[in-house]
Amino acid sequence: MIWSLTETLPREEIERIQLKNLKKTVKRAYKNVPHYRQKMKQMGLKPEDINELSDVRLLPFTTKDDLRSNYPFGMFAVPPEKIVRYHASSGTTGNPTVVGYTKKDMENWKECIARLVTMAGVTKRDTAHISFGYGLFTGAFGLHQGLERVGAGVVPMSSGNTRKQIKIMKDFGATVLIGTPSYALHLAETAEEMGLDPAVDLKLRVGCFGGEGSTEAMREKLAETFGIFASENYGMSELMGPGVAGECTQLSGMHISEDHFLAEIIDPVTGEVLPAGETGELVITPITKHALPLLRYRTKDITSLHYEPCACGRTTARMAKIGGRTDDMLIISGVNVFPSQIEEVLYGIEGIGSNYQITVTKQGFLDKISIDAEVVDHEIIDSLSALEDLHRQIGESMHTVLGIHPKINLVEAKTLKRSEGKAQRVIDLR
Amino acid sequence: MLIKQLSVFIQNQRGHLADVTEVLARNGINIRSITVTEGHEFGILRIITDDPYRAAHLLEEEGYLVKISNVLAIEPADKPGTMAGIFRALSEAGIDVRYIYSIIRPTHGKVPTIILKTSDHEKAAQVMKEIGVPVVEEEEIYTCENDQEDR
Repeated sequence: MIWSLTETLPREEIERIQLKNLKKTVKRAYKNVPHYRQKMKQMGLKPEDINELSDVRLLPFTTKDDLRSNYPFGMFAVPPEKIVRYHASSGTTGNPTVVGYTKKDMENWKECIARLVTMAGVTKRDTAHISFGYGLFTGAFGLHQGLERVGAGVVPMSSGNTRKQIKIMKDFGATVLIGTPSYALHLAETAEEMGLDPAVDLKLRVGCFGGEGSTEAMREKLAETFGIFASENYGMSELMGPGVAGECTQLSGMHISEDHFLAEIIDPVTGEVLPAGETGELVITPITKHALPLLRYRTKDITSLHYEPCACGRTTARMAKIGGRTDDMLIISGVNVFPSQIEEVLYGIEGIGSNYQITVTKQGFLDKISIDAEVVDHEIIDSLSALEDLHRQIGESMHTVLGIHPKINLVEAKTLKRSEGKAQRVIDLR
Repeated sequence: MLIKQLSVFIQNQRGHLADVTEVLARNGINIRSITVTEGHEFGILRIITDDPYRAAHLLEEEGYLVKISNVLAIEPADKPGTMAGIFRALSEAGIDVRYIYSIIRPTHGKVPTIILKTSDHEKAAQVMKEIGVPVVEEEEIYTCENDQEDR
């Protein structure tokens, strides 16, 4: 099912809409946000200089630090009476980044969510269990409103109280699960502890996961454990929240709502725009936002863009799964390592649980990386040689993929901390 | 006939043996035999208790990964050549021995009990019968009737 015809327009038509929306956004930002007016003046740039879509490259980048240093409302382009909703990102250090929405922004947000849940196969006949935490985080409210627009029955469960979540899912006959992939796996584990088979005893048929990156291996694990079609979606509060992009049933990348978001891929070091298909940092200009019209927001997410039409009938650009973040890339004695690569290896190995912990330390001048992986296979634990084989297999696969030799620790099942929101996989002690 | 032995995966860290055995202690479970196979960073704790299923359940509830596996208990005569005879006979019958340990049942005469993990327990038990080595019954290992006499 396709929610909006806009998703199937010919490329020229999509680009025409994008240019029109981009021009309006640049005008709004220039006129109403001192930060942008100053920057553009310094660059000798006026809104009238944007005449083609590729002129977006003339515009300045925006970073999370720009939002932080304009805390809380310095980047807003409308007065407080126009704002109908505030959200903020989890600021673990310093100020959180605050975002606002006008009535029109809220309508656009619902529209984008309606598109992505429809893409995953959700209809008005579904009952959707939301296990994102309700609050300043955009995940829960974002999906909630969009699902209501589609007409699905929303269960606003929020996060935590995992056993109760299972009971409610079962008793309410939830058919759709919304949440982070890591919490979804924790839900499955808990269901099993309660003597239930998540694939049989729950009625779930679709999962829409987001809020943190997920590998293909994790997607397959979720699909298998719950017996569902598992889809991933992408977004971040600075851009809107969830709703920027989502996977259709072809699983050939996440379709971007391009009439609302203009996407580019840049070289994270030089800032140069890279050609279609190449991997680099995703830069997004939301082109319909009124409250917070950001220009060329640097997401720090590593991906690539693909413009060929999809077998699902959509013509919108697709972004590949996030291959890491420019700021969570670990440099281990000169070698670039993404935690997602480690996850991909671990999930490909039988007998290992879905939780893991990466620890980086410095010993003298050398970086040391160690990976704690949980043993979950009963069958092998009576044999030391089977355990040692498993240990060696993980070490060898890591070396093949990463080019370095991390220290592998097999740990007792369930000794690693479980997350209820975004999983904290990396501890960097350097 | 076969003994239910628990294998518990443990990290090689100070305090872990105490943690595991305290779970059993708290629940009044008596350990009949205990042995640890040591790897670099992890090990396998193998225990036989007076109540294998309850012990396994309690440990699993505490989050340990536990496997119940069958082992064979035999009582070879205490004289030169007995063990050699046993291993030769097993080998000729095409049976592999995975691991061995011996336990002492203090009140049970002077003969030690040998615990064997083999590739085929049924066949191994048959071979033992043929060469006249007594196979100890499950219940005899779990219960220690002489304990009660002492009380």
